[in-house]
Amino acid sequence: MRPVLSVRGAAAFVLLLAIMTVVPPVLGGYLIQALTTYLIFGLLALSVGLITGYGRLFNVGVGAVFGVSGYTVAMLTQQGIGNPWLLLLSACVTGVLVSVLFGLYALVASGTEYLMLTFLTTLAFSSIPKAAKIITGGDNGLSVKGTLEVSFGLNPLRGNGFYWLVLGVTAGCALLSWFVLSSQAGKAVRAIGRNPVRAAAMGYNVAAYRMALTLFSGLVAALGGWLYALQNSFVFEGLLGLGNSLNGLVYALIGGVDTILGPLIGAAGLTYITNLLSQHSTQSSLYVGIVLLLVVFLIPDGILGLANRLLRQWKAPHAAPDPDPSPASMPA
Amino acid sequence: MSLNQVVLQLLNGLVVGSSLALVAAGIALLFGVLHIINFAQGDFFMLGAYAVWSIFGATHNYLLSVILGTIVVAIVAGLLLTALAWPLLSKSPVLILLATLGLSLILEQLVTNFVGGDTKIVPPPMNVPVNFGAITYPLYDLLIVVVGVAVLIGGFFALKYAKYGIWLRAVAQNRPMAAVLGVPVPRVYITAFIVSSGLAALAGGLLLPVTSVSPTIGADVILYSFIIVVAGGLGNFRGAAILSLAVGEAQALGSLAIPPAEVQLILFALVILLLMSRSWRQTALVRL
Repeated sequence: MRPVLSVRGAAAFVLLLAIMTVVPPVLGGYLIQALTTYLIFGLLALSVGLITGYGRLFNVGVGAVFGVSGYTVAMLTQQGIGNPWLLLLSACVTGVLVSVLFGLYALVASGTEYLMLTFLTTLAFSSIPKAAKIITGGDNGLSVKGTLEVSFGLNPLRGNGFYWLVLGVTAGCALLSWFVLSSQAGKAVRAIGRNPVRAAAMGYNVAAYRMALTLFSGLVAALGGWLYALQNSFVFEGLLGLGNSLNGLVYALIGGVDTILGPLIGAAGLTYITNLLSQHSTQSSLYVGIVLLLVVFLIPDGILGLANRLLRQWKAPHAAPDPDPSPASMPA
Repeated sequence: MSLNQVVLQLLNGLVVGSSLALVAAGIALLFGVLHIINFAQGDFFMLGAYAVWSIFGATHNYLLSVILGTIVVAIVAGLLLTALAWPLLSKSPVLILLATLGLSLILEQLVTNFVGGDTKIVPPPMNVPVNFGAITYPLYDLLIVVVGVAVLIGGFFALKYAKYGIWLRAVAQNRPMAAVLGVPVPRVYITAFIVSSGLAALAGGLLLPVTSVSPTIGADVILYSFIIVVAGGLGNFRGAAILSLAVGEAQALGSLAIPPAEVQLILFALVILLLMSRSWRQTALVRL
């Protein structure tokens, strides 16, 4: 089993964090807002990466968690509740409650059935706003009311404070993921992902570990939804739906699901490309489709997976093949 | 609500259900039998509708347009799907899902570029009303019911008794073993892809006068079809048929009493429960 956190990885992480803390505020301009968005969608992707990469359960419903958490913030502020800690707490609680559903699915199903259950869940949640128009605003979406108090007094549109908050939350989630996955429990989770039957025979409680992993990944997505609502001051039904959920999976797969940084990089890269293309032409979905096909056929284990593979080949040209293939390149 | 209203909704439900069955049949073939999730299936529906629209514009013969359009889209889309899925068959099904998602995005954009993003429609080919007591109903809608039911029954028997149906099930069960026993695996796959795309295109062409078509119609179309195929049981044509009608009727009748959005929500919840309980029973022996 490859270690979750190598010395090289830790050094890269610290360096990246330092650069991201200092450089964007110095450069200023639109970069800060863009990076904030990338990091928020990075949390969505990280959540999928945790379940898919380490738990080997293909989840296409993570938008439900992300969206419910965002809607919680908007709905509470509409009721006049503006305490930022209360908002954070309720967003996390509702998001994790939704991911309890995903945990239940993992108990009864795996493989295609699990995928379809998460698929149906994200569809069901995206039809809730239309069914409950009065409290959710229906098709029109819902705005986040209140003063800057709701985001701890940090203005998402001005200054660096909100960016640092998002960066801090994302870095915290990444570190926590590393910590959890390197622990004894994390090793059990990865063993279960690889071969549930064998892990169960060794005495591990497969159901409990899968539930724990799902709840943890749900917390990451819920934090993303909370930050999204604060940044945009607006939530809409698309956040709950299949489009957002699939984006999470695609970001994670493009970056490399077996890694912590991969989903974050994939989210940043694809969001950047989409924004860039949609500014210069109306053909962005055409190019996103082409990027998707290129990734599937050329680098099925993601950008970081490719980088790791090349690095290993460069260090040991005749090394044995990767003993720990990514879930995407494994046969079903 | 009057009795007439209920009967009208029952008929509407029947039409919606059979249209769903038509679309679902193609998905059931790929997803149910070969475990391939094709997100572009809805776009093949859209391509079929556009093909019929453009041929009808040239010939003004509806029957000819449906037949020609279906054949053209079946072959083009089927071969496209083969080229896409064949190299990925031995890998994770998720890669095929992502590849077809990419294909779907590309097709939607290309169609928008070539024919525009607006809605297209053709007039109903037969403007013949049928009388049921106090209600009149268009004959064409009833024809859709007949075709939908015929396709499902045909699919059921073809899978069970036809040579290719038996080969297909053999390949689905154990590909290497089927190949060893002399089943021409590549030919079976190509046939399945072409038939599945053809079913989607046929559905698109037949429903064009009723629903109209726009480049993004695919997403709405496959949504319910996936639900039906999943809930009906993998590769189970009878289950898919019953559920298509049940879903159609539930939507039509339910919307008499409660808003459609809530009907949809309840439907999703029921299907999730159904699927969970089925998976629970299936994995009962190997549950961990």
